[in-house]
Amino acid sequence: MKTIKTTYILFSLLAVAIIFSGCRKEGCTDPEAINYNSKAKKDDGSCEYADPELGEGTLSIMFDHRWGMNQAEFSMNTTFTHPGTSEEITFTTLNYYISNIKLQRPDGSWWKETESYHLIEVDENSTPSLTIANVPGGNYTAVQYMIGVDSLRNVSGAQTGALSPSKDMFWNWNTGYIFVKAEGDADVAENGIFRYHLGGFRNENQTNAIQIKTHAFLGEELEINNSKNIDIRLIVNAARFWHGGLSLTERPTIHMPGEAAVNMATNFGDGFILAEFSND
Amino acid sequence: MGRFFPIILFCCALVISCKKQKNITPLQTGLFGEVPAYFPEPVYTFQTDNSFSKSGFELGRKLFFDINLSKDNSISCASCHFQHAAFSDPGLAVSVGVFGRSGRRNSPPLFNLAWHPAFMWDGGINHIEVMPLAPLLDEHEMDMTLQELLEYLNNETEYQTLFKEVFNRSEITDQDLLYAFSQYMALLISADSRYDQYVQGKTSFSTSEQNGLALFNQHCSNCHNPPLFSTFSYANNGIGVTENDQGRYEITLQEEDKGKFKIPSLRNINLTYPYMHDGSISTLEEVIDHYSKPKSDSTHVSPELRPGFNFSSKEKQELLSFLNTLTDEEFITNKAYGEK
Ligand code: HEC
Ligand code: HEC
Repeated sequence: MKTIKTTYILFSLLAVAIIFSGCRKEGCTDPEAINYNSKAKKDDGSCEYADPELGEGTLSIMFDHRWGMNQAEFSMNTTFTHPGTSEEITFTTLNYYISNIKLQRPDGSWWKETESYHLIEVDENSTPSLTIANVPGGNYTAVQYMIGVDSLRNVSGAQTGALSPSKDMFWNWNTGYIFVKAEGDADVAENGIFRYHLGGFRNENQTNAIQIKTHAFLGEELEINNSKNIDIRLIVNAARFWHGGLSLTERPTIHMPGEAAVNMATNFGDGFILAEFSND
Repeated sequence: MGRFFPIILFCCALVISCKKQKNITPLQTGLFGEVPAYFPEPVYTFQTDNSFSKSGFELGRKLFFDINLSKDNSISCASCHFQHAAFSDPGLAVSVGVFGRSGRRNSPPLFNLAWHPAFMWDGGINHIEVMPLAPLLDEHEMDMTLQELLEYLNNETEYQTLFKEVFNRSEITDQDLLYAFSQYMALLISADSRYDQYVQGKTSFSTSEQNGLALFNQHCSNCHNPPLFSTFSYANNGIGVTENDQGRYEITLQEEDKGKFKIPSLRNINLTYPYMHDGSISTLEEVIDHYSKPKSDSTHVSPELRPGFNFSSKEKQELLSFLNTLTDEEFITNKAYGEK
């Protein structure tokens, strides 16, 4: 009898406690804080702020496009030869999304850029960069980013900024972002063109083409503060689209999510290499 | 009972408190009267900056009827979605867009869209806000670019004023355009058919209608599930796969999805002829005949439909009289939805 009564009281108390606590995820809810947790609904007093003495600095990432094994200089509207089949290839478009950029702190936690969506468009300049100002001061050991757009933003309706459908990186008949768009001329291909629109964010049917890349600063800690910035140069190898000997005659186009898009996005992502970093 | 009370309370507490608490505005369906209590929750929650208002709805309505949103200034959304036919394109198997170009699918009716988890016959579009992009940009429909659309809107004083009033941004963006459309589309609510009045006890059914309802519950409601009259999943009811249209397969590339299409709602069904994704069946009588007969294709067609229901002519008549109760006169005549 006693135990029943105790259970009774216990459960009631628990129920009341749950109603009031709202079963909300607790964490730091201040976006200004360095450990801001966007999923937290209730502040638990854990917010930590960047040392104001350190101030803020800039993270710049340069995308240095290259071609093939010997990393030859790459440029648009220039004819290159396929690494395996020697077919001729000329790029007219090369655009891709870089999103969800993070920097890792020495204790393993991450600083995350908010609204982190960048469209990299290669044009006459084959070394475009992105810059994030106001990264909180501190030491960092690695950078992480996504090639593509996280699944949530693929299912959340009309977006703006880099994610606006007017950027032409959006499938309007099969909703979702085109993560990587590569187009150009290739005489050997049917119709003389190649056209790769790579995307897909669902795990079912293996159509998730999102690539997550992490580059550690080789054991070093880079510092950001009022007078120190981080500059990173990545090599992006454009020949990786045809990695493994895929020929243009075999596959001149990919225009929707699926196995082919995942394979090609994976190959392309593998061709992102940390070439250089500096801290000044 | 007393002993279980705390446990029940505990469970309720979990349910109450764990309800998603997002920074979103729920759909204010109340703008045009109440949605019946037996309707489920709409599937969309809208971003905070797309909060619904009467003026937002009015703006969406103006856009829906504006032929200048098409390449040859001849086609508006309403050219293929007529209110008097519950916003379908009656009589046409496939709709005609700019420069007389034909599409490949039948124009579906538009209502209760806030309950559709995905749009189009193949379910390729996953959110009501991005829905208008397909018709606006498709070369067979309105054939515009977003740049052209924004240039037009930003140069019309009337639109400038209206957009400013609703979204309060200095320039009209593609996001505002899509938000405005979504407010109009999400509030096209049809829930006042004779069937609804019957469910609410305001009217009674004839014997024939009642028998039809029973037949419907027995054979059809698995897929055409009340109160929305669709589960909004995908099925193959034996219309057939063609090279030209493989249905859901075109989105998923999964073999089993060949010839599957989004299950259509049957509300207002006697207004939306011809029927099926390709408009290949002209009348409801023929649709019922189609379900009555056995299907020869045994690999793709949904197993429950293969043998055919073999309805008697009395049963056919009863089903038909039930389907006719799903028409919502109020919805198709309500001036709030029509062209100003
Ligand atoms: C040329 C005719 C045409 C025009 C113009 C047109 N539509 Fe459609 N609409 C269709 C057809 C055909 C479909 C089905 C397409 C498919 O499934 O591939 C459709 C589908 C839809 C759907 C999905 C309904 C469902 O049940 O999944 C919505 C919503 C819609 N249209 C809204 C609009 C809006 C908003 C506009 C104007 C911006 C518009 N339509 C312009 C013909 C048209
Ligand atoms: C296995 C699921 C399933 C069952 C059971 C089913 N249907 Fe359907 N129904 C569908 C699908 C899917 C479509 C659209 C097919 C297409 O366009 O190719 C459809 C289309 C229709 C249409 C045409 C709708 C339009 O807007 O064009 C009518 C009318 C219809 N069904 C009535 C019925 C009736 C009456 C029954 C019961 C006798 C029934 N259905 C049973 C799946 C089903």
